Amino acid sequence: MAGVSLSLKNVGPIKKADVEFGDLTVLVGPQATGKSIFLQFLKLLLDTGPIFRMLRKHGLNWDRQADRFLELYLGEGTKGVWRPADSEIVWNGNALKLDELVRSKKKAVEERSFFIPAQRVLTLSREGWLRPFTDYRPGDPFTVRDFSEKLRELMESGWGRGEAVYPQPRRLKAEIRTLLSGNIFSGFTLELERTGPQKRLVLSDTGHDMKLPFMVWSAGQREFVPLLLGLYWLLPPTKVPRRGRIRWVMIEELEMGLHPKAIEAMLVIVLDLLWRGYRVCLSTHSPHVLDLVWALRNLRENRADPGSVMRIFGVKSNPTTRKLGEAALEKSAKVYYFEARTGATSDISNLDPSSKERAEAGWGGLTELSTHIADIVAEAAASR
Amino acid sequence: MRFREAVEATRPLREQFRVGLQALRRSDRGRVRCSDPRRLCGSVNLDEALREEYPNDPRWDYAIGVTRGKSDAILWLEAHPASSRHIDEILKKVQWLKAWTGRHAPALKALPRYYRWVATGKIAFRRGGQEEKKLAQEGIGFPSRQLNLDEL
Repeated sequence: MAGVSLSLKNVGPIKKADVEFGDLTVLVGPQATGKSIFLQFLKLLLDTGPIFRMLRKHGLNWDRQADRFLELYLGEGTKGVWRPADSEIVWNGNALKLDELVRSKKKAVEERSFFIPAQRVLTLSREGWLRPFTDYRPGDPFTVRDFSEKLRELMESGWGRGEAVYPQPRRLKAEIRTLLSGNIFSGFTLELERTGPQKRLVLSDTGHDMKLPFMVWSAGQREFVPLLLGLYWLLPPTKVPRRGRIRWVMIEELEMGLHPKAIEAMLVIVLDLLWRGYRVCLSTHSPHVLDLVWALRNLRENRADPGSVMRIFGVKSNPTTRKLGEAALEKSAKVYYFEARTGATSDISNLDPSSKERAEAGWGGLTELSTHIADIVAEAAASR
Repeated sequence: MRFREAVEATRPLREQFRVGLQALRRSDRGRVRCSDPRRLCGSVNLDEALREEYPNDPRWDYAIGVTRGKSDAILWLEAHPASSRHIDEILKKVQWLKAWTGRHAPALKALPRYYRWVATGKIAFRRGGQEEKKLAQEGIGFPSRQLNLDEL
């Protein structure tokens, strides 16, 4: 894919964010530094027409006003994120004005991106079913409502009676299912249960005659199920590698609520997305995500065998996993640090532990506490 | 006690004291940086000095004397490749060093000390991981490509 870049200036907490996207792009940085705003602006630029169509379809109008649009798109109270006098967007080298963008009559072509928001747990109601777009308040973020609606449509149309939602032989690679079954579902299956017109998702263990409703799932399972359904939406159960015209996938905090072993499984899924030709953008607070980026960079530099990529996850090398490994070593990865103090971003893609740049050596603060602890312990142990 | 006195009080090192960083192999001298050379109070090539007596032991490379206020401290320096598979080698070396100083070099053992690892190539493990914790437990800081004595 050709080089794609996005620069935001004076948008919310962002003073200046210059990001050149790789096949995999990872955003790190403390809370409230603008990572989520940045990804939502990326979605807006990729899918302006479809976003306008979706809002209008549900009777939501912004009267061609940028601040009213932002309240609908980013959510209530966010109109101050855009400051007309000094906010700027530069998309692939072209300066854009938000007020012109929200006034434009963008033709609603097919979507090019799929956004999995951090608040994905909210897409399931207490009863364990997907909430429609209209179930949310107009001031709730568009990306949450849109994601929720997509999953609802998928679940309303895509499943036969008595069919397990997870595992599904035609969805996800067998090696990925093995990781998920062991590390997230612990042998349970995810089923769609119907009682009259009512539907709900339950975790089922037929061996022990157990059916667990949503409210008794573990926090990790509650976080993971919307993520899984999002992946089902993206990964068609056919030989087609991608869905429609979708080429971009944004996942906010893929690690949310997950144990490191479950994060490993998610990282294999990210490699699958890359192999399918999706461009993946992640925001994360997990050093494990950067461990993978760092490992891929070093394996690539050392011309390692593609099988070594899957060995990271304890997955045996076979023709399928080898393809994932080969693709992972061919793809480019970029890492950007969103700094709280300056509001600027820095490119820390090298992730060099011996870098003189603190942000790069400390992986955008993700390894800083561990490092600091190790320094203190080393000092004490040396003086013994 | 000063660094030089401690070295000369240690039998196998008695003749091994060198001024500045001269005990270091030429290739290793550039791995140590010090903006104030007056802080350097000598060095010893431990690896060479003890080779005959302990040919098969995991010997440590160098001792460097550094002034620290009114006294001296020892910087025990190892120049070694730095990937995670080298961690165990470094740990064996530092354990050997501690055992050796405990038995044969009480004067050196009495000085304040730092254990440092300078990487002879790229560092191939990250900060904050298990490797750093293993090293920390033995008193060794995270490796660096160049050691800056000003930071001690």
